[in-house]
Amino acid sequence: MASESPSTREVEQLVDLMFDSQIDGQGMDRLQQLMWEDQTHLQAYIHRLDFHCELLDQSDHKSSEAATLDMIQQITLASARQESQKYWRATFLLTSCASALALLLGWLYYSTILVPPMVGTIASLSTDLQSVETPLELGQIIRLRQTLTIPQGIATLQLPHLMLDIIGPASVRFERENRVSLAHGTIVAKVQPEGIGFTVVTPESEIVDLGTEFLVEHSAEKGTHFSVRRGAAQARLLDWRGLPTHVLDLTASRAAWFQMSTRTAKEVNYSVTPYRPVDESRGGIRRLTGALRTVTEAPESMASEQFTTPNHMLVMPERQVTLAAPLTVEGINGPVTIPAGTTLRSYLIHYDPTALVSFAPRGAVTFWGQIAALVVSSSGLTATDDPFALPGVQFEPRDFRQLELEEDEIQISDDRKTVSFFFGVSPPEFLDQARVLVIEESP
Amino acid sequence: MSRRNVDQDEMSPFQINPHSTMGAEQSPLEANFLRQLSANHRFLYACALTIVGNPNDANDVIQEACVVLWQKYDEFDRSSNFRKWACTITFNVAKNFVRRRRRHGQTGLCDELLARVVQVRTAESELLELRREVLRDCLRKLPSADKSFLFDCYQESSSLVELSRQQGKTVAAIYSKLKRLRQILARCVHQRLGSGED
Repeated sequence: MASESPSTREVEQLVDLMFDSQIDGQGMDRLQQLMWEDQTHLQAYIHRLDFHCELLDQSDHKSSEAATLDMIQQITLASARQESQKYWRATFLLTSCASALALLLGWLYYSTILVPPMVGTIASLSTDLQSVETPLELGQIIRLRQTLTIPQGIATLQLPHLMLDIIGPASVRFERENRVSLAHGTIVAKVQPEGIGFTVVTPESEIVDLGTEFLVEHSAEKGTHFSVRRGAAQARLLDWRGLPTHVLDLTASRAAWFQMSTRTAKEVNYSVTPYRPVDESRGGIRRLTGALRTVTEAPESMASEQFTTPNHMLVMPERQVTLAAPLTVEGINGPVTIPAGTTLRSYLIHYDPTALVSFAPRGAVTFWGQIAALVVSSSGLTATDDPFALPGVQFEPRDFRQLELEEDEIQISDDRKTVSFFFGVSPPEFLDQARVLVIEESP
Repeated sequence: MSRRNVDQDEMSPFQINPHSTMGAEQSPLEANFLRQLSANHRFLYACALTIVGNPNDANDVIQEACVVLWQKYDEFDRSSNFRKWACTITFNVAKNFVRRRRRHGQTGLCDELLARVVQVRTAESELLELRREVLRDCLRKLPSADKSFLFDCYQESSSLVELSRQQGKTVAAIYSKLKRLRQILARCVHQRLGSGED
């Protein structure tokens, strides 16, 4: 009888482990070592694996042909899987490439090469303005597809041929140069003739300007309120597909109300009340620059240290007056007489920093109309308080509210529409005020 | 005549309708290939197993080898030995498989040793066939319960874990019994070959 050596037995044991997929690296190294050492070990390796192969064959009762067919089917399935994987790999690759390209283009679009075009700039901001985005600044550029969300205050934008006041809380997206979406809140548009066709879209309506000043107010609960102050505009009730179902043409001093859920489009009573925040905040101001802000609500007192403005100067629209008789006021360069019948709008410039402020702000305000007179002396201010100041507002009775022309600077532009300021900061009294009388003219 | 066209370059023989019976709906060439493959399937499997060492990998190798065989079948000289030709290709596919496995950090014999294994196995093919006959005899003498258990263990679809669950025994107990039966059969083969040699 042929006897087995211990090393041959070891080879067989290692082969069994390999066949059972239980061999580790150390076992494999030992097996290789044994096979190199002796030819009989290598033979033992082959014999043992063939032994297992025969047992596999014996345990498999299928005929050779059936086994081959089984294998072919497996390969067919594997082949199909490979094809499928190839397809998905190719799809994934293409999708990845497309995504990468889209990201690259998007990055280029939003970074350098394809920056969305500018649609306008911020012309005026109220003191109480808040914004969801980074703090808004005067002169800041607004770009296409940008959304402005204002929880509080009023922001005025200068767009091509129109002024757009956004009254917070509101959210507005600039879809095109002449088209905005109002998600919620109130906007007032003053459109010049060149800007006809400017459109405001709300979820249930589309308001197309026909050369006018109009207001659109939208909320999810109340729908869309729309009124025309001057000129004309067309409003369309939209269905869920965004297609118009009703059309209303409104002229001056008319208003309408739209609601998609009830498919309502009806004319309602006109009121100027919704316009008031803009009138009171901005009036005929076309643009502010520098450290200037408007107010949304007039303070009760403008006396010294009653309404401090440490970071900016304030420009506050006052009353609009049509002169019944000629009016002579003390202007910056001497007395100015304004003829009867002139409609004037007064604006108070106010700066009252605290003693802690060491820098003096600069700024300028541009009006739609021409400046008729600039009043900077205490006596001139006091004389014009009565006809032009807002009712109930208290002023500093002492005479230091005037500008000190040796320290403070104030200039009127050649076209008499812009006045620029530089107010000094010197103790003991910091209050500086001026009154600008502007011939009323707004788009 | 060239057997393959552009489309067929990408075809495996297994795109020959696998649901058909052998030879049905197939070209004579395809039918011939499948006939020869079928006749040598177990032998080729054994070649693959000798190189890769375990049945799962051997199955993968034999599938890959069959695809290569079909792709190269037009290079095969019909007058020569299909088994020898197919076995050479299968060995090469298997050796490449082991190389890939090693690159992935798994175990496998080195190339030089595999070359010697191929050499020795080819030289010993007749002896191996003799040993198989002896093994079959030994199997016949094994109690039917043990034989049934052994075949259960070796069936492609079974696992020792599954068997242990079916038989209510631990995997260790199952494996221990399997080793014992392997030992009995191996001793039987040795004894039979030793008697013959004597």
